[in-house]
Amino acid sequence: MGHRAAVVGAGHTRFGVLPDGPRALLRTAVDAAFASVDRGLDRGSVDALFLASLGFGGWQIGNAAALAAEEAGAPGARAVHVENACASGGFAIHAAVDAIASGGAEVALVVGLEKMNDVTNARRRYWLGVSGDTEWERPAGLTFAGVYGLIASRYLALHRVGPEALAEVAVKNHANGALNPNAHFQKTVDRAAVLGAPRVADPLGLYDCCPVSDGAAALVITSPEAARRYTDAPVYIDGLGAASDVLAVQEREEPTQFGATRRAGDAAFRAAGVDRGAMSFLELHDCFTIAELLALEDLGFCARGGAGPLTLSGATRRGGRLPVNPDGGLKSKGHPIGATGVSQAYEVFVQLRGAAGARQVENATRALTHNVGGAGATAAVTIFSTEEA
Amino acid sequence: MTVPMRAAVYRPLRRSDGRAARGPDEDAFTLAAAAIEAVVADSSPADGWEIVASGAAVQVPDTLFAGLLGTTVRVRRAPDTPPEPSGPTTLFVAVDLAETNGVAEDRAVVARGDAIVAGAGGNGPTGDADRLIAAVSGVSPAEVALLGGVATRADSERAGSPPAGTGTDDRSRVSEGALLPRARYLEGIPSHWRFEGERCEACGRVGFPIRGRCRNCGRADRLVRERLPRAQLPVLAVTRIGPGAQPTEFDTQVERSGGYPVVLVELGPNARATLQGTDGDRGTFAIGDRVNTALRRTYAMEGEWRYARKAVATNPRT
Repeated sequence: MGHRAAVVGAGHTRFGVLPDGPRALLRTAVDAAFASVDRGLDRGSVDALFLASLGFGGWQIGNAAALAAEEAGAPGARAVHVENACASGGFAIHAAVDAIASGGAEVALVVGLEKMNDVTNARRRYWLGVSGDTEWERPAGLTFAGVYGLIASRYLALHRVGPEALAEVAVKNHANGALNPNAHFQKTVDRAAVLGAPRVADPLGLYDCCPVSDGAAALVITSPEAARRYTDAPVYIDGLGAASDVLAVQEREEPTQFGATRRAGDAAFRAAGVDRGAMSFLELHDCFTIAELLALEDLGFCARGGAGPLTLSGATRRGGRLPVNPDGGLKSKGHPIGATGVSQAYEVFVQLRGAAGARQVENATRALTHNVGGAGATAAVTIFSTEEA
Repeated sequence: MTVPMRAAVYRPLRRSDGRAARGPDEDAFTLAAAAIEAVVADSSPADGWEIVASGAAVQVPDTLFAGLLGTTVRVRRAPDTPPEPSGPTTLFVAVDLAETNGVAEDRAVVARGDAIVAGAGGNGPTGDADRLIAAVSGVSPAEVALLGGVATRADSERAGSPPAGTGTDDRSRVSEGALLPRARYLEGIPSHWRFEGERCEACGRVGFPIRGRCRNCGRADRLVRERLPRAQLPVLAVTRIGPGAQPTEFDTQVERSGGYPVVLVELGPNARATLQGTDGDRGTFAIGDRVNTALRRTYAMEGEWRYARKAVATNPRT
């Protein structure tokens, strides 16, 4: 299969509780992305800009893309706001690739942004709930922590897996995040601390949940043909897959399976024409520890019920046979909603170019990103490589 | 003080696809019934008091008046509690139907001692306001708190605003919750309160909740309402929401209780419901258990209490 597009530059702010406002975060990420383009790229050549953001807190919900283009120094570009909850970033990348593949753009800029810590605790929890089902789950008293808590309880019972498997996800991702200077949490935790942490939505405790983070990330994407004008080391986008599912988990056939992830993954592998075994590492959407286990199964990297034992075996650690979330994942790196999918692609960009420093995955040539909206209502899967077509 | 129950009776409507909306008075009845049931169930008696409830819900045929008549809530001292010399021993609530534009005046019910009796009144097809009206006399603030969401005439005349602890302060709070507009709340009542689904007579599939279109074959013209079980429901998943994980509309509840359980239960093939569990000393929830359900007050939005079915454990704690 041929390449669909190429990433020639990527930028990232630190994730965390930051003093920067949305405009500053946008500028920082975009400036870093353009600075990373080896032979430089004139911002005036950006044909299209895709902003991924939930508009958290009510900040500039309308026409936010125009503001992003303004801050990116590309005010004349076609600018579109992409919103699919926590999967906004993944879908924005897909929109950019589609624009390039259709001939509508040769150079596209993708920016993911969320500023989540400007608002009161109450308002923050309101915004954290707007992407879930508001007809049943929310009136029953659930936010996403509760929805994933329900899913986790069923998963553990169904597959006779202990909470240690969930804890191991947190331990591993914190160990990776400790090596990532952009991560919200740059500290390790041990299994006892995870298991002994206060319960948030049983069986999920504090360390099973990703933090509420500010941050932004940006990608400069071009057509495969144009990429060589800007760098000798492009990271190609080879396969896209995206899907949706019914919003309320209660209406799905099996709450512990995300059909959107399964369909998106299958489509992405078909499009890329590669096998699952060809992946050097995975960037999975671990908003809660249980989500990483579900993703491993829904994407077909192990059988149903196999993700717990796989994780406990150490296979998903950075030095394992299938590294997962070498950047720390949402769990440790943080989860500024709109930025997350773009941040995953940033990690792929630096890893596949051998520039990830202390957290580098050895001999990485192919990787997959998996970005989920809410509790599996939407999913975007993208496969990258450095190999020439 | 009157407690507004706006649009408990509402005008017949046609949906965008031309289908008629459900009959108006059924939900008026249910709103009133839920309000009273919730008052009874969720009230927290003052120390030394307990609530004993009994009664029956009725709907008056051929009128827009629909309510809960004859429900009796006796408030009595808990055993082994010394008598309180100066306090009243009963609550006395009358349904003041005189304020309902004359509708069903002859059905006004005046409470007897030791009883709370309430009803809903409607002002007919030209109006948009129904109301649940209750009056209380001879009660102290501590006992008013027993009434939960039903504010009282005595309160408003005495203080001009709902007293702290009655729950009405929550109702007046500006919600930071995801907005479920009243119209959508009312639209969801058949499924939320009565667990009504829809059977597709074309393919046989039962869908839940009501969507107006078969999830299996897509047809909208062969759907018939069907009530699904409301008791002995198997638990498929359970969580307990701790402080900080609740939507903001449940903040007060978490402050008072420290958290609450939520369960996913099975109503039948392809039919599941996410329900908050009743808490306290009534029992625990676990996967594989069977639970019953009861209509309960849940949260406040748009200035009024919302009601929904909650799961009730069937394995009382020992």
